[in-house]
Amino acid sequence: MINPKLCFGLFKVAGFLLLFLDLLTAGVEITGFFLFLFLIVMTLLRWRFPKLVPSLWADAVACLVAMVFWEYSPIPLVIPLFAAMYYRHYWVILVGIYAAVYAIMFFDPTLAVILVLSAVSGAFLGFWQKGIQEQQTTQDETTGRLYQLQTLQGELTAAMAKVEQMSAVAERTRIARDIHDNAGHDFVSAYITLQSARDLFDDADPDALELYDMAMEKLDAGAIKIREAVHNLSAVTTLGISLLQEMCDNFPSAFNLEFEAFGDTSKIPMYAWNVLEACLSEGLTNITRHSRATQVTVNLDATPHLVRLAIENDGVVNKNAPVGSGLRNLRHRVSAVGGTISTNSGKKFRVVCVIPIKEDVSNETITG
Amino acid sequence: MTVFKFALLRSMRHPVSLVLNTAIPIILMFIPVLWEENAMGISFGFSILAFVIIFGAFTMSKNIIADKEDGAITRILMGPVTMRSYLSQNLLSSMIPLITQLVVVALLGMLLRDWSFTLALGVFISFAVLTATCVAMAFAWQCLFKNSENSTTGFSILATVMAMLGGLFIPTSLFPGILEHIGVIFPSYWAMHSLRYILTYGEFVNSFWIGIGAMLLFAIAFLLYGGQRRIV
Repeated sequence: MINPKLCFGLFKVAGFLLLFLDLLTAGVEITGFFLFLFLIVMTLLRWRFPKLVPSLWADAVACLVAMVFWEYSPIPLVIPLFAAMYYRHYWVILVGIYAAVYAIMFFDPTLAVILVLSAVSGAFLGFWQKGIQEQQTTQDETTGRLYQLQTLQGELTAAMAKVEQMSAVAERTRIARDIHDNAGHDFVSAYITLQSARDLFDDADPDALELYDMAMEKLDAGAIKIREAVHNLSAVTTLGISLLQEMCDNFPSAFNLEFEAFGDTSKIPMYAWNVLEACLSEGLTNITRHSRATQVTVNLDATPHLVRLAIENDGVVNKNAPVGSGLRNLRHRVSAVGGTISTNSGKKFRVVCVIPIKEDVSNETITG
Repeated sequence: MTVFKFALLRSMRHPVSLVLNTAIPIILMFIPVLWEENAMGISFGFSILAFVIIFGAFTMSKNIIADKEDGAITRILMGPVTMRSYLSQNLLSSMIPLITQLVVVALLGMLLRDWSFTLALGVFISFAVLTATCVAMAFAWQCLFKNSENSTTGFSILATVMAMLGGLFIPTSLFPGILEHIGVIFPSYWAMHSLRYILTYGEFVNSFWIGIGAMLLFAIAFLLYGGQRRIV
């Protein structure tokens, strides 16, 4: 498929072939041939190392020196002129004008036309290439944004599923606690009372006693079933403050992590715990990956209206490091629950996450 | 230098390399008729030696395409070896035996053919630079092909054309029209150019160094071209 790079390469090859033919017909002057070889080497050098494109001035200088000192025709200048216009190095226009005037004055005016044509075609190919590059950049940026959105969407979906799961677990824990603390205690108390009362019925009708004992056996079986039910309903996984504590405990000891919690954490709703967990996880991961911390502090402050998590470390490596995609996605998640997340890089690097506690949903909490 | 060591051993194990790099150049020095001056102004022995160097350089640098063919390059690069060190060590291993034989040739020339030290040094420099250029050219040539058969066939044709138009066996002045000068695009032309001046004047005149400079520019161009091509 035709593209500006291919056209540029073909033009260059054609230019060198024509230049060589010109040299051959003139009987191969040593100066001309060395200039020809030098231009080839420089072209290959820029092809091999694209960062050396500014070295085009060396080609132009070599051609000009060849023109002035050895009265060589300005034809070789066609190649650097074309390349410089392609790479949009417009200083070469001055060289081109000089060479064109030189050609008109001392050689054939046709040479001036060739120089102008090469410059124009180089500029045309350069603009074509620039257009394609801009188009590709826009496309890449769009694809990048789409990818980020998809990642964020995936993370939010996963977070929602987790909140849902945590809510279910919290509800089961509450039911188990209610059964254990209320119904279970009353049931066991009644059972013990009835057991104690058994001795008072020694003189009673044997049939009544038999019925009484059967009822006691049923009550005994019921007590066992209630105990098993409570056990089965209790959550195996840790939630809330316990989970945060567990994450801090599992963090490598080389970082000397200190975790402290203040206030009544039982009022923090489930959605907030989910975000706090993600926040702590991201913060700790970043510390292990990007810092040289020797001391890490994690503080959780719970008030009736908001909860604040602060993660602080003393291992700042780059104060002006850009925000990563993990923190950016986390910011979206925090703002989705009405909170904010901020970073501060001074002597210590600090991440602070503040989440407001909404009254209408605060009933979904973990209290045990 | 592990790659260098193994590349050198592998090159020298090849019988053609062994003959081209050791036997032929030394045998040439013992044939007096080859070193008599002829109509070209350059003894026939120099032309044969240049031709042997061209083919020797190609044979020695065959390892690169062999590695590409059997996938060894992929396995080598899986280790802690960079592409630059692999290529540079391979090229060095191709060059060292050829340059060593040139030292022997120069010494034998001084002993058997009464060459002066300057002449022997001039011959050595011309052929050593030709060797470097030919190794670089062979490397660039290998990078154009995917299998060694095509590469060898193509290079045989190229070497023959290079020898003919570069004036190794026939003086370029005998060629008609533009064919007289077309050989300037081959390193062999410039090797003969330098040799002619060192043999004629017996000292390092400017024209001698022009030939050397041209060959060095060719070597740089070939290395740059070969280095850009993907060999994996």
